[in-house]
Amino acid sequence: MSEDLYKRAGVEDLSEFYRTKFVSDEVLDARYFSALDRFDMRFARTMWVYDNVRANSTALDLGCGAGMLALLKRKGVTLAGVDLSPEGALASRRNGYDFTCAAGLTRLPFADATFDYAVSLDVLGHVGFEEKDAVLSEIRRVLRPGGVTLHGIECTDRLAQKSYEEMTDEELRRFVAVDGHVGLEEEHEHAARFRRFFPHVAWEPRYALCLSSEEFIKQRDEYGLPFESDFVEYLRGLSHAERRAFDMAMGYVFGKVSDLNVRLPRSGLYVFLKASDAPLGPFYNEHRDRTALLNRADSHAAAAEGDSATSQMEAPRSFCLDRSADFDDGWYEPNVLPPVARWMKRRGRIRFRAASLHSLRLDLTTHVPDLGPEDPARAARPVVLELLLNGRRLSALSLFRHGWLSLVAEVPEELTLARDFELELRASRTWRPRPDDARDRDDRELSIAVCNVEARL
Amino acid sequence: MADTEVENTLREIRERVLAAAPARASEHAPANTTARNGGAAPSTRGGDAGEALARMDANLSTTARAWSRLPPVLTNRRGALARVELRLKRLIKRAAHWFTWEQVNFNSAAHNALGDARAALDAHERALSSLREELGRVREELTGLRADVESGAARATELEARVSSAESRFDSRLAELQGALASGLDNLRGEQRARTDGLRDALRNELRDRAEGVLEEQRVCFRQLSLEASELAVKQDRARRAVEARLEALEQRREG
Repeated sequence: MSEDLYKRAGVEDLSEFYRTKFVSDEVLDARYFSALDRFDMRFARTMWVYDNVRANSTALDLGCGAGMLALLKRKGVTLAGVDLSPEGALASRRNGYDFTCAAGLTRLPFADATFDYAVSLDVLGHVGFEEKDAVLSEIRRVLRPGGVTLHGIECTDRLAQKSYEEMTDEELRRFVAVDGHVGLEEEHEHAARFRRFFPHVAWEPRYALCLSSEEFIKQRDEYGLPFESDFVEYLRGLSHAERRAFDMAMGYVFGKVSDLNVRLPRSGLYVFLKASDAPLGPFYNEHRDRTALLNRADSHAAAAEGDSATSQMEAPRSFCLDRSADFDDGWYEPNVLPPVARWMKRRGRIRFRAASLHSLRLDLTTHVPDLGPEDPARAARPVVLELLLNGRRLSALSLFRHGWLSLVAEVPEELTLARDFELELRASRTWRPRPDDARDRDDRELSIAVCNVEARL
Repeated sequence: MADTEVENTLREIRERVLAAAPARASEHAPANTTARNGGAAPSTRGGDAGEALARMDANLSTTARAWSRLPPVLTNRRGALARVELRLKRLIKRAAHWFTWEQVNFNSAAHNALGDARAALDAHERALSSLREELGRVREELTGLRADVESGAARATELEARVSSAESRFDSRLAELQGALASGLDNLRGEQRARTDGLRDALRNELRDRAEGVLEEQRVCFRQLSLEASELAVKQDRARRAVEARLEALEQRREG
């Protein structure tokens, strides 16, 4: 039936459909995760799973997509993923999953009783009604005894929305084109279905209160939810920084609702659901331990600080700051350019500790238009870049071309033993990639992209 | 009765005179008078036939006058002489009736034969006239056709002259165009060669720039991989040291 619905909706190639919808160049690798992003509404579901999964356990991500559960690697979880799209499986693998493959959910390529957790986020709404029982049966099969399955499930409210049978072909095409939902059920129907396979089921309606700015706009524009129009228009006019602030506030409230165990009224939008063959623990924060999430310091920093007393190998002469230093809010989240690099706003700071520091090395590029004399019709406007270490200028240069540039800056002798360092980069100008693109707006103020920031001892 | 017969006789004489007048007029008429009959040449036989028919008509009027009876008994005298003369004439008429009546019958037969001959001749004359008219039309058509053929021949001659002139103009224009085409092709080849060279240079530069970009990107990616490998090595070393420390601790605990 789901295939019929997809066909009726004009979706011929499911794998390609999901690749274009859910695979992006964003970096979800746990090593790049900024602790502050735990409040980002975008990671609210991930954090619910993160706080409910035991450290060093094994977990299967059903419909892993780009790899939203990569953060579980911070807890030492052995993480596997399956996705309908081979590109999705590959993206998850790149984001740190231990094993991924392209497969359907009705025939999981794993042995019985393999995982402690089977997790899906925004997946069961894409599974057709006739396949749902088969998927749940497979989940039960691959779970170890006492294993828990956790799901974030999109729902529908039949009082407010037409059923699939009631939709015309055009309505169905528009509905499915938004996210690919062909198996939406009401909240209680999900719980009832899970009870047929698991004796212990708990669920909570979520997202009645908190949505990201992007989701508010989408739910109103694409699904016709009755949010106040002036509010949605206000959200639509927000800049990237303002949207991020809004999403952080929403994520903060979302997390507090979980922490306070507040039961929200049904919304017909979304449920969190836990099920197991064993009695369930608390619905929220069953295994909350954010130490690894908050602690960025890793072996490099330790090594950099001279933690080599017991080391039998040669102490590293340099260490990379990309995944261990503290990047302030002058930096955007990492992107796959390739390589994995962070875009900077007009000014960005990187804080790190080192026992000693003799030089800094980094790779940088820019996509700012009208840089140099390669376009004779326009005047050259190079990006002027300054590097400062602990407030002292190390170097200044002008970028006249778009390629990658390796930059090495010597550290003045009086700063080499400072231990706490703050590298600051300042760019003379920025640009916005797609400020007016209604479908794929990107109004970030970008100057340079930086990676491979290396502290040489 | 006698007056009526006199009147008839006078009318016949007048008609004969009137009938003879057009025949004489036609004999002395100018040539263009006959040309009015479809332009046909004057026919002597036709003219003789008309005259003969006119004479026949005059004779028929005579035979028609008394073909079935004898002439009336008349006198120009008056009185007793007149009565005697009339009585005598009546006696003679009655006495000569045996052969005069035969004469009357002969007259009647001659009159009828002449009438029939007149009708046959009329029919022949009409047929001849229509044939003459048909002949005139055919002659006219032939004349028209001859004129058409002559004008067509003139037109063909003119066209032939024009075609010949156009051919010579075409040949000269063709030669001119062939010359222009040859020189244009030379120019085009030159321009094309220059453009191809330019494009090849631009493509070479673009490829070189892109290759440099890819090499740069590759260098940065390799650098990233190298740094990650270094991180992993450090982590591995650290884990190994931790394991060794725990093993050592376990060993010490076992010994202690």
